Amino acid sequence: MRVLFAEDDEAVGRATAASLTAAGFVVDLVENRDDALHALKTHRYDAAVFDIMLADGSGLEALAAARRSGLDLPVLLLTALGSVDDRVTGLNAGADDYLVKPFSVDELIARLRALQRRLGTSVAMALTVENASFDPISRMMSVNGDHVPLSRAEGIVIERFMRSLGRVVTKEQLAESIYSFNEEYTENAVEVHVHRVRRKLESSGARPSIRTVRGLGYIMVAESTS
Amino acid sequence: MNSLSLRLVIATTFVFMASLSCAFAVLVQEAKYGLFRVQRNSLTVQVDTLEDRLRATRGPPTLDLGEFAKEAGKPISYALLDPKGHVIESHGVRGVDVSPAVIERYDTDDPFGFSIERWLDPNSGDPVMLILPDANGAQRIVVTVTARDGYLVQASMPLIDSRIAITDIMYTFTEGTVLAVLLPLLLAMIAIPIIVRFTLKPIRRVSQQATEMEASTLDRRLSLDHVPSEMRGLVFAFNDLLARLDRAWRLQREFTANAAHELRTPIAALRAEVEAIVPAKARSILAVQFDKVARLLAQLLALAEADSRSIDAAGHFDLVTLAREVVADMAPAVIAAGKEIAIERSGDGEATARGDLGLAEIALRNLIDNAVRHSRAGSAIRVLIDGANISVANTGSDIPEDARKAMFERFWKKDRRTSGSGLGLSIIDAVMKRLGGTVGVASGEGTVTFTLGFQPPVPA
Repeated sequence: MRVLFAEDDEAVGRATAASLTAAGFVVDLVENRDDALHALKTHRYDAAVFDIMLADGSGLEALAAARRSGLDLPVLLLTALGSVDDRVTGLNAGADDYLVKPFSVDELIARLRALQRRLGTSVAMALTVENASFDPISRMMSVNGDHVPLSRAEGIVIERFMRSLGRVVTKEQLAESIYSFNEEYTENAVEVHVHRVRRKLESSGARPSIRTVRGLGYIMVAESTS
Repeated sequence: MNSLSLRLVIATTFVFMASLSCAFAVLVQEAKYGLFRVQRNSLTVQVDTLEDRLRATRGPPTLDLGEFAKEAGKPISYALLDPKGHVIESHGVRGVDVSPAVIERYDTDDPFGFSIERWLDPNSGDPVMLILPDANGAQRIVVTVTARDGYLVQASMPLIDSRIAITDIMYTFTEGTVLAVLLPLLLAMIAIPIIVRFTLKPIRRVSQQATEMEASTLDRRLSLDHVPSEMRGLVFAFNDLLARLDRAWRLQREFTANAAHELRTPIAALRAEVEAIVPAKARSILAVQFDKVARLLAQLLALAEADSRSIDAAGHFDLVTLAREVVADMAPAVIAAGKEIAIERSGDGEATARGDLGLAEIALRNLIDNAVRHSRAGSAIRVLIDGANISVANTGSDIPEDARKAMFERFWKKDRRTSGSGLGLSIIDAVMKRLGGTVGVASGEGTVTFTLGFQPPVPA
């Protein structure tokens, strides 16, 4: 996974890039906005990490400009600010996620992988969470290499969860994925699909599990904690 | 003596009494001289009459008392004096010799407490007036006038003792005025406290405003509406003080915000450097400490933001949307901490509140964060929306009454050993105050419930 990392603090940039490289990423480290924009034009990246404040201008402006010119790769913002407004501004400028300094490199790696799963350009790539994997092309799920049969709706549900690993998926979002907009559905029907997927994950010994956030939706966690 | 009413009553009484005494003194003085003038005038008139009669006669001068004869000596006495000033004829009490020497003597002294008025001019014929001691030691008033051929006509009477007269006048005056003076005084006593209360009403309003002020509302000023001009100085001075405090407070907040912000980058660098050199497995141990620092910095910034954020006071927001967004954002961390989280609604009514959405989000985030840290493993955190209120309930032990207020103070901790900063609840408290809302806590049966009371929307 090739990542462009725009960070003007030399120590943060160098050390984080080293950790990312150790974790198997290919990292291009740049220190200013112009270099970042230039790199985005000349190379193909799977994701970009932007510090919100760069030496020669706001990382937000660079991001907004890049988005306007058709940049569609996942972008994660790093910020030392972190107020409510800064977060909203960042997401409005076209960021897909944000992290507040001082961040943990493990968190950064997890967020980058989640972004890749959710927004990655290679849609055809098999989705894998721990011992479970789902192939978006053949619509097949396997746990520990064993095939687990799924209905059409269950396939949509598991794909949606795996792409949003560690993030809340609301019932409305699930319904939008399963049903076309002129199809009638009930919340209950969505719950039934999730219930079935959950049972299949449990019975097949899959490590990822689906947890309920009552009144809101569900969240898939990689490793069952309870 | 600190009551304004009491001071005014005392001052008014004093002014009343002082003016009464002055009026009395003036009256006594007037009475004293008034009496004297009456006596002198009556003597002068009689002497003038006798003089006219003498001038109308021929031959050796003699007094023709006429109608005065019966009254001679009761109390007015009459006398005729030769041109040398010696008495040659007396009716009633013996006349007084008026030699130039006598006149000279009495003219310079004032032995009787009265100044001796002297019209005398033996040549011009103006009356001479003297006050002399008589044989009994009492004082006599004597008026002498030049008549025909240097002869002098004299009338005299005892000087009425003004002290007796004054006592009499005083008695009458007091009797007549006691009601006229005491009644207004009594009315003033009753009226003053009422007037004071009424007059100080704007001041009470200003004090009320001052009472409601908090560190987070230092941008407000006391209203000068209806404040009496005498009190404006005080209100101006207070507002000026507020402005200075506001500036100092702002600098303090900005310092906190800047310090926390400036610390973030070097700590990020330190963390990145350390994490790059330790094995991946050891990072989780370090993460606990680094996360603690990160959290403290975030809280200090949130606290500074809660106090100083420029807010959209007229904004409205939907509590359900707010709760869904915050819970969706925090659910991964809640579940990672081994807990559950749920949103519940009470009733189907409107769940809209008035105020700044950003502040409301800070409050709810910190409340959920607090619930995660203080609930038992495996338990559920319930976010309940009810009208303009959001409650966050979690498992936890009963909170004693005395701690319920203290827990919203900065750096308060139930237990010194707990790892939290003690800032979370104070952030919520500061935020809710700025939103004009409330934060309350209830506990019992193993559940602790914090409730954020937002301002309901203004009815359209």
